[in-house]
Amino acid sequence: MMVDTWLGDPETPLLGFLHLPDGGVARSGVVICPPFGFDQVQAYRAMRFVGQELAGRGIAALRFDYLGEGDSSGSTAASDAAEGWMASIRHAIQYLRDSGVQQVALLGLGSGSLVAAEAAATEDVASLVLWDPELSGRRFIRKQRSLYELAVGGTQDQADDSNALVAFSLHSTAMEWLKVRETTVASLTALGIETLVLGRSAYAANPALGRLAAAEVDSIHFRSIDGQEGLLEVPGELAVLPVDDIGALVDWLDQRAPAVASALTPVITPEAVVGTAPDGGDIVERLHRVGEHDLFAIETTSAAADDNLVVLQPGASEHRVGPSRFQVLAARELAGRGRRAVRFDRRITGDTTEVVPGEPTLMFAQEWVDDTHALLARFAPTGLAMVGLCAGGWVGARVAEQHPALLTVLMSPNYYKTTPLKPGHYSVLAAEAGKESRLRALKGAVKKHIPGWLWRVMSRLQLFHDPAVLLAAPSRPGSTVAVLLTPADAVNFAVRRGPEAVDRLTRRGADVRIINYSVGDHSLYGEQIRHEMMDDLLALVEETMPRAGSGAAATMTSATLA
Amino acid sequence: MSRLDTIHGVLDTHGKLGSAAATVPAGADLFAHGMTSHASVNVMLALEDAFEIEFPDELLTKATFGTIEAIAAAVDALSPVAA
Repeated sequence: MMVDTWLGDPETPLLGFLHLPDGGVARSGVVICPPFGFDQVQAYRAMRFVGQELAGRGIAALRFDYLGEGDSSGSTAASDAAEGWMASIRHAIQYLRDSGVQQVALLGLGSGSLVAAEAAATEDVASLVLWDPELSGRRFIRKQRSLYELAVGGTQDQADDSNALVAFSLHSTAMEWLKVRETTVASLTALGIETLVLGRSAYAANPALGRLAAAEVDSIHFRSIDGQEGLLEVPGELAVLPVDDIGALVDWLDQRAPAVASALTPVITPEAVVGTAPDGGDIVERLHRVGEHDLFAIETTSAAADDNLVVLQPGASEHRVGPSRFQVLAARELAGRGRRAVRFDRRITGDTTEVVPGEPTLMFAQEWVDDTHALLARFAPTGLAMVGLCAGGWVGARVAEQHPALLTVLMSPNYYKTTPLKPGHYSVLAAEAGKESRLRALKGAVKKHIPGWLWRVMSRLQLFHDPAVLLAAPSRPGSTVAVLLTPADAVNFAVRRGPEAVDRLTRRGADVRIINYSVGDHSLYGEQIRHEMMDDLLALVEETMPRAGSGAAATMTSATLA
Repeated sequence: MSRLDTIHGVLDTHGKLGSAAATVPAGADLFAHGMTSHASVNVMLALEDAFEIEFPDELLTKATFGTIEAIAAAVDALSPVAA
């Protein structure tokens, strides 16, 4: 069983998920400290699986977002971010203790190991697990900066001391704090608690990891693992859960948990104040479970909000961390401007549906469209805006077939067929995408030269992608469609004859806007593209969704966030 | 083991190349041979460990890790003892 709750200081709430053993008792508890940035996106379901497995052994597990990350309050790029990370871990430990857990262990994954080890030095914890740990903060930062340069490109250092890394930003002060963190044999020995280090076999030549592997210290246990690259360093739809590695760390924690269990009485807090609206009122977030699949949803609202609803959806199989935190920031800003917003996890993403090893991706499958209809049935909006990144935008456009929206925003779209894929099929397409084939080359050559009438016939048969097909439903009269294109997506849009499609729809009276960006990556790992798209989607909502009772455009004053 | 053997070994362990590094022409585009951005960062870190060097920020580009000869040139430039 898993429960969703706000926790910590009510002035700066954290979002957490508590995995509870059957019977309402636990032998011990584990606080799971997530990694930062891209790794958190990739590992999210794996961490949930750890929580499930621990609960199955009678151990309570708490997952949470650090202050400034995911759905927790605060800003990722705050100058006091490091204090926030440590405070978050303290709050998580305290939450388990207040729930009745007698003995707490810490588990850090990747860069989360650096802060978990730091917390273990000051908090009363029984043991520590470092899973594929970053052992040097400096090395982690260099790795992130290199990855940003190679995968995203562009400027990393901003004038305001914000440093763009892959899928997140750090203030220079927080970055300097991280840079001096080191996990060594000496630092772990000094903790005086048992520590398990799960180190990648591929990193065996790394001297720091080698010293831990060779350490002749009773309290340090080392195990070599092989599953991390398949989890963290492949596209999400091709990721494989490292079941054996997870089994090893669960076994280790299980062996160290007391035999006697204690009763748990966790306090569940489904509502929190996450900011202040310009009118001085609270910006409130409520946690919901929706429909037959118990979809996890967060509603963001304020006293000034009307019955209209902005539905925000992430790209790929992501959820609400990393680049998809744009949903969190947009929801809070919108609520400050008098709009209700909701973000949610579709099936087999984030905190909806239990993790099952080998579970298929539902990218571009009908299930996500059905999930969104279930959400709309629950919230019953008067007017609707659908905003989504890539696959999230596709879902929004598909929903418009049955549920007209005032505004549909497609951020970084690249998939324009409306026929849904079977569950898991996108993984097959992704695996084939990088391979050259004669058939692919032939199709590309043919598509360049076929006449317009034949193109339209073939695209209606879904033989290839045509933006006119996906945009037809959301661009019906009375609706606005905005297509936000990064440079790579703009090229794809043009190859698919998107500009011609927009011309045809516009001649029929549709309001279709194309917004191009001069720089930026498809997945929004870059900081600049995230900010630019956020500004544009807020302006689009302001323009197309007038608030009930307000004749003029709403005031564009920013909310103050906790 | 020669410097080039070490580079080949690092690429075989971390580069995600479709074939053994020793069979890839020195001037061939490693990204076209399957190396990903993540893999290139792992290659960078493993080269630093193997040669006890540190790539300066200005060398953290695709070009530095794009071919075996570019990698070898960067390692040569950063190593205290020439090959």
